[in-house]
Amino acid sequence: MLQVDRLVKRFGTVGAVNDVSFEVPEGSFFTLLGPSGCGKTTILRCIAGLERPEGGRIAIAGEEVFSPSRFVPPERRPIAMVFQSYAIWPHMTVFENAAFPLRYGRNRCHPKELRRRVESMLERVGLAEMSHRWATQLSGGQQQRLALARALLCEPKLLLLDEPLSNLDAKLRASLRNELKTFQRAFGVTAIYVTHDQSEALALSDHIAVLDRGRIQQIGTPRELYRHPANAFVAHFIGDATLIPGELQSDGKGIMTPLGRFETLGPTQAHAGSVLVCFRPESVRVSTQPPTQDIALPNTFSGIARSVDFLGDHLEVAVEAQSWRLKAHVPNSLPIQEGQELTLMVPQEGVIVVPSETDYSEEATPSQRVLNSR
Amino acid sequence: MIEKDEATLRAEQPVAQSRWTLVLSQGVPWAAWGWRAGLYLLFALLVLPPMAFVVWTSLKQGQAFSLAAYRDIFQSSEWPKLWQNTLVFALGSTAVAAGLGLLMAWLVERTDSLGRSGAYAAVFAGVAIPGMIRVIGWILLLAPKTGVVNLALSHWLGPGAPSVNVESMGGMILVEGLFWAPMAFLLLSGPIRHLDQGLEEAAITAGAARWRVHLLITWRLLAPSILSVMVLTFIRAIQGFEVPLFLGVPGNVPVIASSIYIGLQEAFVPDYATASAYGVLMLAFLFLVLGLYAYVTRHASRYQTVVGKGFRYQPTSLGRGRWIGGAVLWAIAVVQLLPALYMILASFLKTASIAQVGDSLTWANYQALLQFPGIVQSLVNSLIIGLLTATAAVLLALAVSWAMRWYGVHGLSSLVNLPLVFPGVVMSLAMLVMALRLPISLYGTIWIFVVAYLATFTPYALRYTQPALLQIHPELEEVARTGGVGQGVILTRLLLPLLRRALMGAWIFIFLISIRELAVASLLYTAHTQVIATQLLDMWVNGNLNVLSAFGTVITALGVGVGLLMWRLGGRGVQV
Ligand SMILES: Nc1ncnc2c1ncn2[C@@H]1O[C@H](COP(=O)(O)OP(=O)(O)OP(=O)(O)O)[C@@H](O)[C@H]1O
Ligand SMILES: [Mg+2]
Repeated sequence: MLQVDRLVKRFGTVGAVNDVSFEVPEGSFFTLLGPSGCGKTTILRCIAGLERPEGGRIAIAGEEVFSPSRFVPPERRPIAMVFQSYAIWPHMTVFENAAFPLRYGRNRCHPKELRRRVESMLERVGLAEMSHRWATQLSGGQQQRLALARALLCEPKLLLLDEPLSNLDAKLRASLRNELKTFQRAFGVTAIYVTHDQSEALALSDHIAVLDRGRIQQIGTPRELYRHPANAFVAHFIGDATLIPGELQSDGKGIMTPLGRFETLGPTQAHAGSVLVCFRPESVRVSTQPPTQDIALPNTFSGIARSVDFLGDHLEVAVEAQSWRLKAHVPNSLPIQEGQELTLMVPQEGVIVVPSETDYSEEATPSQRVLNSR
Repeated sequence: MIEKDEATLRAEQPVAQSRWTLVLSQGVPWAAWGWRAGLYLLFALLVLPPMAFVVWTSLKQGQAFSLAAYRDIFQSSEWPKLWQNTLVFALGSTAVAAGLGLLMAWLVERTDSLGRSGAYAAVFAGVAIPGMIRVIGWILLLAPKTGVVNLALSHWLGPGAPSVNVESMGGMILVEGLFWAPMAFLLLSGPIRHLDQGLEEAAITAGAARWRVHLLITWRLLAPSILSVMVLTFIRAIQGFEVPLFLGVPGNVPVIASSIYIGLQEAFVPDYATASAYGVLMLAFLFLVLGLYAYVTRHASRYQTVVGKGFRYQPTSLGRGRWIGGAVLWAIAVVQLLPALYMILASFLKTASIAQVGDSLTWANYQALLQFPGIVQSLVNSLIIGLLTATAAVLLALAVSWAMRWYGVHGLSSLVNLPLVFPGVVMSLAMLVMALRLPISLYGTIWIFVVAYLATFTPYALRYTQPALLQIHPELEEVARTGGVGQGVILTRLLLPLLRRALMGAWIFIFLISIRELAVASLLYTAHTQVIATQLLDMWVNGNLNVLSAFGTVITALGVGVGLLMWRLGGRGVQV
């Protein structure tokens, strides 16, 4: 449905998007995820035609809409966009706002047909009773639904959403998140969603592209990204992760780190030499037994509990192991005190090996060698 | 979709290059070039030829070019006097306007003074009552022999009574200063209101004496705003025409602006070279002032922290002084209104003297006015010129701000704003010498007024359209574009409705100032193309003051009506 190929966009000398490529299959929900300023909005605006890229190729539904020799303006691309500000026109009623694209847009229709379609759409998003109110009299959540209704009435092949939930409070955000997903499924529309909120991305998406500084770090399903992050940035941006540098040993299975030897089930042959050992807080097993001589066992090390937070169903323990800080989730039945010495073990299936790319070496300076504090 | 070549595609669609302004870094679309070139050309044609013609005329002696006109001016015996008068007049009125404006702003914004509405009444009077009417009102009140106040004084106190003469340098300074005091008030009340109280309190808690805090912090922080208001008033006073003409000429206090007009009016054969040379000297001086100002304020952004958050200042309690403050504010308002009020009264009297007030009030002046030759024609002309000018200026300003938004045509605004430097009478002269040399006959038609007013007033319309357009979030347009809506529909269905208030405000303001403009009209009219301002001038030169008052009353009523309309639109008409 959408192909983006080696997209490049600069503002002056600043490269906002560098060599970004991805493909989105029809009917799926695709998310661009990354920290603030990484170029998510810029990519979305390039797809919409609101920015003209410096290079690359974009095709929507098999039709090339941008290439170095071709530029299709936004009004002739089969898209609709929901903006972060919602962009509800304040001088019109709810009905007029929703009807505007059908009156003057790409897919116009007969006035009678228009009334029927707009009314049924407002019905579906729960705004039917307020269709004659001024748009400015809507609450934030209602405005968001109006923006969505207006976009869906354009009958886009591609729906572009730029952080549509970021202006809402946490509760509303969670409920509208589900609604959004339901609408997308019901209309069968392909959606490109932009967010910097990883939990939103994980909950909504079929596929996620993780971006940093204008480059794609990894593309995959939420599960893939969580379980097999391609690099330290992804590991660290999606969920909590502890990353410890080490050297891959010649047996191809063990990694020597300052905390001892780690072994993994996952593939390591792709890497060589310096790597990072990565594990998630829920993979860490904690025991209050004092360390024995068995400490020489692989995947096992000792540490001191620095803080213990009660999070209901589990405890979150911040552990200091040598100079490293890491998090562990442990059953709430375990009686752990701050300052207590602990033995920690990460099972082989919980150990992920990622390349230690120099890009992120600055984050691995001794002062903050732990990458799990986001 | 069929493959098209790049050029046609670009011609069809100028591209949004960035979110706020569309920087044309590369691949400039043809449409953008079209807009750019068209608007530059239009404004260059509107603004530059008058300037070029006035310079050219000043250098032309018969067939040859020479600097003789300038040499004659510098060698003439009046030149030092003229120059000195102009400066004293401008500096004096600047002091009066800035002083009164500051006093009003301080009373309104930072004290618990009563009667703050008086300040706004003064502002309203300043906007709605044409300057010319106020000057004539002052003459009716305070002319040396005939002014009603002086008549009353000698009536009650006998022959040796003291008299007040408004036709003097002092009178001119006061009247011109009163003209600009409301503007100074408006421009200063913002900075004074936003002055962060914390900055002052920090100093007071640090143990500094209150007066020292005021001196070192408050005034230091306000200084840039005060300076800019003073520069603006100074330029306005140098450009001033009504006061020098109506008060300075009878009082024998010539300044450059009035002598350009009088020189051309009184001479048997008009000496355009000398008049133009005066005009060029004025323009050069004003550019110099603006350049100096820009140089002095080049670090102005350092003071931007001054405009603090929305903390409302705890007003200084004046105690008993609250009443005095209120009285001062209302006194200023009354002084603004007084001349027009007296003119209304005089329009119902048989003679200019108030002695007959008891006798009878009469409509005779209004009947005489109706029979006065050319009066109706001048009203019609003014209305037509006002309609055309206001409409065209608003459309031009809209096109300019639209082009700036979509195509990043930024240099255009300095070109559009150039006429702000022109004194009205110099603009008038420039248009005249240009029209006399053009092959098409502009002189003697109302179109010459429209062209001159358009050049002069479009910058004011821009002050409405540009901020209004900036306030419209670009996403409001972009969401329509992604929905497939074309630019024409976006302009007519989205932008125009959202801009409606600003456009109406601009239209009314331009209409108001163009139907009463005197300086720009002063050299452009003929017997067949009178406008109300020049008609009033003619009546003043050779007419009956009571009929003149009736005409003035009609004009004032018109101005107040339009002013009220503007006030209801949110008081935006007070931009200067
Ligand atoms: N119009 C512009 N002119 C110059 N630089 C820009 C412009 N728009 C974006 N940028 C720069 O491009 C980079 C990417 O911006 P973009 O808006 O795409 O980020 P984002 O990922 O959407 O961030 P956020 O989550 O904060 O919205 C940023 O460094 C930004 O400063
Ligand atoms: Mg963004």
